[in-house]
Amino acid sequence: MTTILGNVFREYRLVSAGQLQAELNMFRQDLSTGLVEIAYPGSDTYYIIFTEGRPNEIYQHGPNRVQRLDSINPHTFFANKGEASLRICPVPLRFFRAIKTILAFTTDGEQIVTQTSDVIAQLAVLQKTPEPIIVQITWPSSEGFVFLPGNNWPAREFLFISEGQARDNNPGVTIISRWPERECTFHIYRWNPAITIWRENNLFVGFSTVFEKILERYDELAGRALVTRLENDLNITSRNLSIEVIFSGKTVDDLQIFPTAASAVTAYRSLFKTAFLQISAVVGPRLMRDTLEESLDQLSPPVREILLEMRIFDTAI
Amino acid sequence: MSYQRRITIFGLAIFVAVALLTAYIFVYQFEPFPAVTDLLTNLLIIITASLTFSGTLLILLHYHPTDKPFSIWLHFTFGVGLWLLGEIAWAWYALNLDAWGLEQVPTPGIPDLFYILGMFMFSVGLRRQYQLVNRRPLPVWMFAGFWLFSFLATALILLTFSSFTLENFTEYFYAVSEFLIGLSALYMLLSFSGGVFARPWLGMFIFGISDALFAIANASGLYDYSSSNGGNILTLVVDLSYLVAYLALALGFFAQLLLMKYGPGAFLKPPKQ
Repeated sequence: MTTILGNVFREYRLVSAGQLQAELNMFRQDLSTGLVEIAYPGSDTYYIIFTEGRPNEIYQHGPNRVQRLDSINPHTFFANKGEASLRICPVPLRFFRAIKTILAFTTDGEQIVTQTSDVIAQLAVLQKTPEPIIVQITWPSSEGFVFLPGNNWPAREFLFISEGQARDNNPGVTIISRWPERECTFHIYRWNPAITIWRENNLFVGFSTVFEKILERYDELAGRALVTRLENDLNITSRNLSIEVIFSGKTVDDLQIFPTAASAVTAYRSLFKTAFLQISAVVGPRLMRDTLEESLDQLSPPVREILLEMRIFDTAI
Repeated sequence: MSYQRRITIFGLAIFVAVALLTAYIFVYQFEPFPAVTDLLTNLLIIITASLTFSGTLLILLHYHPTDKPFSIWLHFTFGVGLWLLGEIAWAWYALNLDAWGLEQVPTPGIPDLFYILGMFMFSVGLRRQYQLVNRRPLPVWMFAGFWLFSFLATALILLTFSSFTLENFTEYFYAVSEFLIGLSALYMLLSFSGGVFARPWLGMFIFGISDALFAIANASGLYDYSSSNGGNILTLVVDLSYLVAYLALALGFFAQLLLMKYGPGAFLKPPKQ
């Protein structure tokens, strides 16, 4: 597996078990969000994803194997493991979808070395792939992550981070295509039904793309005033569910990293229910269903399958 | 706005509509002020047409000019505006028949110009709505075909059942084209069925059919026969269908106006506790 954020956060520090505990405590007290890498010489490497001070997920990497360690307390788990190499990568929440996916792979993704000026063209080629893909783009001092939903849907996330400076927003193609480092490497992580994280990814990508398609159609039929009203109500539903999914300008910004696919399903169902109730009351259930079916047909097969399998729309229509 | 409050407001609108109908029947049937019966009945029609026009205009103002439905409602507003001008022109003629030495309002005349232009605007709005719902263009030749069919069907009806005069043609043309507009509105009503957006189309469907019946009664001479034989009830029913047409349209627009102003929440029945 390629070192995640290795060109951006390069510093490894050798720490004792005590120092490691102190670092982890500091992370917790400062309510920090980021990735912590703990490598034991000659043994396994651990990655901890911290969100606002909480250690949300821990991955254990060994030779040709990866394991997600649920329900362990890192403070006790690492207490007696001895000296370790510690690397701290403070990155915004938005990066975790890509990071989690890459962490779930035991091997490097396919690699393509390309010119920075060709990045957009390369992504356009990959976009046509039927199944979803996460692309990690590495430059000597920066990295980018792109989530391609497949079936020629445009990129859902376009993240970029350079040395010591994370960019929380979607910088789009402009920063990436103007980046001064001339050469970069694509690491391509394709959809793989054997890797569980892809279920969550597909759920996320399906939810966002279908929702945006529905909002776009609703805007066509009903105009922006009613769309804005719906978005306000959806944002209220999000707040009530305590999740970070923001609706604005016919786009969905899903920042929420759900602990499990099941919890994502519950939240997504509620949001769809709010939308379907309102849209059906305005344009009628038939046009609503037609729009939903049309957008589902356009999704890549694994994304469509997970939405139907998890019965995301059951409470709504 | 709560669901219950919206029901109350809409109930009030229905009450106003019924009050206008009752006033019309009262003035028409009992003629409490014989000297001004014509003025009052015409005034009631103009008031109803003005309410309908206000409805379209207020809906239009809720849309942003870049919204796709804006253009639909712009055409409807022009359409109803032209009909309103038609009603005013017709009333002006009707109230000055004696002064101008006329027996009846000339057909075709200035009011017809407004009515036909208004119908054309409505058909343009309908075409845009069709394109928006189906997401495919309705070719200009098909749109032109709608009007050509109305002309040809009118001519065919005239040649088969009546004599071909410009007056007859105009009156039968209303019946045919309004019936076709009513059918087109029915298509939109079915597309939006179950949603508030269906209500203006329900109004327009009733308008098209009701107005077509009025036009048929008028064109066939049934109306004149009834009036000259003192059969006031039949003429009342025919005249009322004209008022009902406007009121149905006004109520349909009012429902959409409430939606635009207060949002769909006002139309969603709260779950039982």
